[in-house]
Amino acid sequence: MLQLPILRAGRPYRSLNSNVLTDIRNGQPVAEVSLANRGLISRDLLGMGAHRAELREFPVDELIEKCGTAAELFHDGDLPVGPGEDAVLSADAFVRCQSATTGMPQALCRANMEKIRFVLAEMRRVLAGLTRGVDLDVLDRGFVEEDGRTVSYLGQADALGAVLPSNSPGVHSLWIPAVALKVPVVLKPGSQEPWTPSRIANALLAAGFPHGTIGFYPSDHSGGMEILLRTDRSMLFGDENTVRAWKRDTRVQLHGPGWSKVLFGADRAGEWESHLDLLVASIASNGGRSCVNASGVWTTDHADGLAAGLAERLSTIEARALDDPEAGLAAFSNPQIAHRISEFVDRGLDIPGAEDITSKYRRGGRVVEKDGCTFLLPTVIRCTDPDHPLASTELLFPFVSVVEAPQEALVRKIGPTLVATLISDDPGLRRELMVSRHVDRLNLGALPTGVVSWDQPHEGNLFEHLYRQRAFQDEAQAS
Amino acid sequence: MYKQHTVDQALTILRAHDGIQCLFTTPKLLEALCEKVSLPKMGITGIFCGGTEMNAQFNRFAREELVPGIDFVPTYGNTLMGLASPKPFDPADNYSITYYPPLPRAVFEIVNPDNLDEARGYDERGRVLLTTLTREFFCPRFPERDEGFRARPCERYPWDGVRDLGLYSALSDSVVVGVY
Repeated sequence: MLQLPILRAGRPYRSLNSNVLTDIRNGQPVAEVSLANRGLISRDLLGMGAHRAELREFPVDELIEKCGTAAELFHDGDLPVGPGEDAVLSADAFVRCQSATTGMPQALCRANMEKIRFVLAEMRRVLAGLTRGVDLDVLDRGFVEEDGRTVSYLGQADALGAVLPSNSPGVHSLWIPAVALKVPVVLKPGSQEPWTPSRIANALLAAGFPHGTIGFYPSDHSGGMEILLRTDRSMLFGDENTVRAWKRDTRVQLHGPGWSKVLFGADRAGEWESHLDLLVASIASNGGRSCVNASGVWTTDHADGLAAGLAERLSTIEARALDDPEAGLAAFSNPQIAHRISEFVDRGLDIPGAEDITSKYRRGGRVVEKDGCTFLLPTVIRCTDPDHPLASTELLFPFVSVVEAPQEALVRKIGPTLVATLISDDPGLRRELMVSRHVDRLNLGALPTGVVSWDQPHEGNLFEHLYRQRAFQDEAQAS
Repeated sequence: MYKQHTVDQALTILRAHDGIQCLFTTPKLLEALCEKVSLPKMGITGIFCGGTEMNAQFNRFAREELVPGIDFVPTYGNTLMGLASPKPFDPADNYSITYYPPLPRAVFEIVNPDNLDEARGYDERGRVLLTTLTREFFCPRFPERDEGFRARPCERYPWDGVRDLGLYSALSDSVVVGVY
């Protein structure tokens, strides 16, 4: 069985505690993942200052170049599971393992690999977006001259902690720029998805990043807590309950539920049929598991027709075997969770004001089994009451509520929204969304919610999280 | 806060007295102490560590990294039993911890958690039943909140023990182990 070790300052460590990941189709063991005890993590974190000092010595241009090398290694290379380890994973083997243990179809695993590759390969562009074009020499020298002004930034942490999720491998693209920004990372992967962060870590190390750049600590919740408490800057991914406790801690950048939405203004609500492709892509791309997947379609009119048309289209998405190139739905690693989610939806439907429109189009229940896996089929709920609990629900499969609300109430009613795509030319509605603090990413026009511009921040700007602009004067420079 | 207070108390005493050589502590407090000071440099030569769940990985971590060179002795006990003794360290055990009760005052039985009358065989996992018999007190077959593997007698302790103790799984959702 494959052994995935902890990486302590980039060095493999096999723990006596471990978690065996199994193939969800047949229960066969796939990998034994070493688990770090809490104290081991806290002890290693004491050394992060030295690791950062080592990384700081590398010119940023060299680190960007190494990211480019890591991009190819990650995407195509045969990478060991840790420096010096005998076990090597090819890209295909990586995809097979990841798919088998997470339930994500192999085709989607490959698509997510491409997202990671892109961010690594385009690191200069990503950093330019995060820094808004500041000369990256500022990372080497601490200050630069721009338009006759001195600009200086001060690092805020010796390491970026990241407590990571299992739902979608693409989110790992969010922490990667930290290493090019000369900040080591301390990663606690999701229990089901150590694959992507492990492979990124090994690609970065193989590309020549110093060992201290990477800490990879599969662990239980106490390990994640230790990382959040002890790193001066961190990222936390999780559901509402997970992130709630950290909302007041500015050291922690939160990545919670998305509640992303597509909105139709009154002027273009009648065009919904021509936007069905956009709606389907927003709701169901990447298996509907991402925070950028739409869980709501809000419109000022035509909601019944839109819900019916959408349900008809989404009901054509079928559960397929994980290795089927056409597979678009992710299976649940724990079938009980799929059943519980479906029961949750059914309980919501008992409350007046909501109807499952997809039930008219699919040939059976919401939960289906295929090739030994359990899936939830796409579900469209027509909420006649904008305040219905299902109108603001996000679930781990293609699930969407179609809600009608008057235009004057639309922006006020939608609630927190990670990505909003607005189909409207109404300048008043556009302006209202531009200034809404509920909305994080805003797409004006027919852009699917999942289309991410990598040179723009996502739920906060990592550069601003890690660096603070400070006043700086140098007498020698002035003279 | 309370952990910090406890560590501060321990450090105050350790710094004030040169002759302290032995420490009784919990795993979490040991970790916290080792972040502040080097226990070997403070003259500590032996540590009894227990009070909360401790597994093989922590045993290894403590011996290899927290307090290398110090005699590290895992302990398991309570007011019913007193302290159980660990099997002396043997590299062949791969840091697995085995405890033996203080016979004749206390005896372990490892049983089926769903049928406390069904004894487990050697190397089978089960719930710990503790029987205590002293001149003052008799408590037969008290179900502990722990489970582990029934261990064979060893040379120093020629009676049954328990290996790889952990919280009884049926309680794992309702009990917080080791606040400090």
